[in-house]
Amino acid sequence: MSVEGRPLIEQDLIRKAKRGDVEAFEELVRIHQQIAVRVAFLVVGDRDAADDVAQEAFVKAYHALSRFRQESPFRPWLLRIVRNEALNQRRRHGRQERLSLRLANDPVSGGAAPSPETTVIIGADRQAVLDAVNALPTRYRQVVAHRYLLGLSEAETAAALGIPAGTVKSRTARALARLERALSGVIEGLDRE
Amino acid sequence: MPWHVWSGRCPVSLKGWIVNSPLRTVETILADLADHIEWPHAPVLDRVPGRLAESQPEPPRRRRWIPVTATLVVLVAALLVLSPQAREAVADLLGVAGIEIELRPELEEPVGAGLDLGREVAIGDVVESAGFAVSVPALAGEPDAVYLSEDQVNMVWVGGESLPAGGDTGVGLLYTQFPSESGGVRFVKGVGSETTVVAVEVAGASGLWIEGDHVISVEDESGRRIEETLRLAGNVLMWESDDVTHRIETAVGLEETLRIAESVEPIAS
Repeated sequence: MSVEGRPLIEQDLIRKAKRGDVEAFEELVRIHQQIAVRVAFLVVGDRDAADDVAQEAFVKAYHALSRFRQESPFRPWLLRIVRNEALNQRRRHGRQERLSLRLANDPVSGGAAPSPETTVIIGADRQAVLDAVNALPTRYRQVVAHRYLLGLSEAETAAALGIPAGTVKSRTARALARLERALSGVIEGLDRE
Repeated sequence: MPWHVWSGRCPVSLKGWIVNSPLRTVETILADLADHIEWPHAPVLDRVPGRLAESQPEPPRRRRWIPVTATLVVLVAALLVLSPQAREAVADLLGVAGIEIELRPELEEPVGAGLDLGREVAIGDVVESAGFAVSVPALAGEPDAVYLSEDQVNMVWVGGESLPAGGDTGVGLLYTQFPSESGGVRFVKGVGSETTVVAVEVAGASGLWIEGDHVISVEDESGRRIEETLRLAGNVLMWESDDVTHRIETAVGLEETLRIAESVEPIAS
């Protein structure tokens, strides 16, 4: 499925799903399940719980499809439902946010070739970077995680977190400034090379 | 621990770019990190198909009132160009035909001014000063008036064809929002024999739909008690999402109100 063709195909799937075509909706689930589980994971911090949240959110999205405006983008609408469901689940279990991201043993780049920028820092002490991200205040960490670790656009991050795009922009700028300070030694090391 | 930097040939432009732009470097480092996070493995959403098969999505409902109100709007528009005497005569005539038209003097004060909603403010000012992400339902468009009472933002829209005005207020939609600590809204106590309270979901967030004349008490998870009274003699949808409690009061039904509620989006500051 090409990137250019995707929105048209997606609109078609949504139109069919609205008419009760379960298979069309299942295709939408397949397209968006990974990002949905990851958004849920950022809230509940547990893999199994994130799966449960995403499943529940997809079922709710299916039932709310009649209220989805066909001309608007589907993913932010869906991710908003996922995040709300994740917040509900966390609340039901009386949990506080306790997300602590970890490094994978093997890179999970989704099959894409590493970009030149990525290549430059292969072998770097990523744990230090991750510690700095985990140490950010929640409002900054959430924005950084959605924008850079999930790769969502500013508008998608705003929709998923339920905050204005302007706030995403300002929190991103502040978070990057904090990370730059926290990682100054690392960046200087890069400059010396 | 020292960074181990890739030791192969590095494009000059890339190196210069990194040296000259530290924030860009942080973004580059984050892009690398994204590829190395331990995310949940391939999700197993195997229960979704079974759940979908159990029920169909709610079909969109036809808005049967649109042609009727459109006719009325044309008639009312025709009335406006006639003299007061002629207007009364036509109104009488229409009254005989079974249609009642109320002739109201032009509103001199902003709509909703008599509803004790706080002081009237410009929407731009309230977005700056509210202290939380102020939203607006995109489906309703720009509000006709905005009021601020302590940390509570009240937006009103003039009643019209799609949102009939409640009572003699001239207001078709009242949208209220204020910060809450966290958690959903819950029903505490109520008075009103004709009142129904239904738990609903608004874009996945928990809420309450209160239909019928009522005086009830609702509180959010932080324990903030909201003495809930009707301003427009309409129906009320309340929900809590991302630390903000939202309330919509209108004369239209649940489906249409949910549609409005789910179009709520933050205003860019």
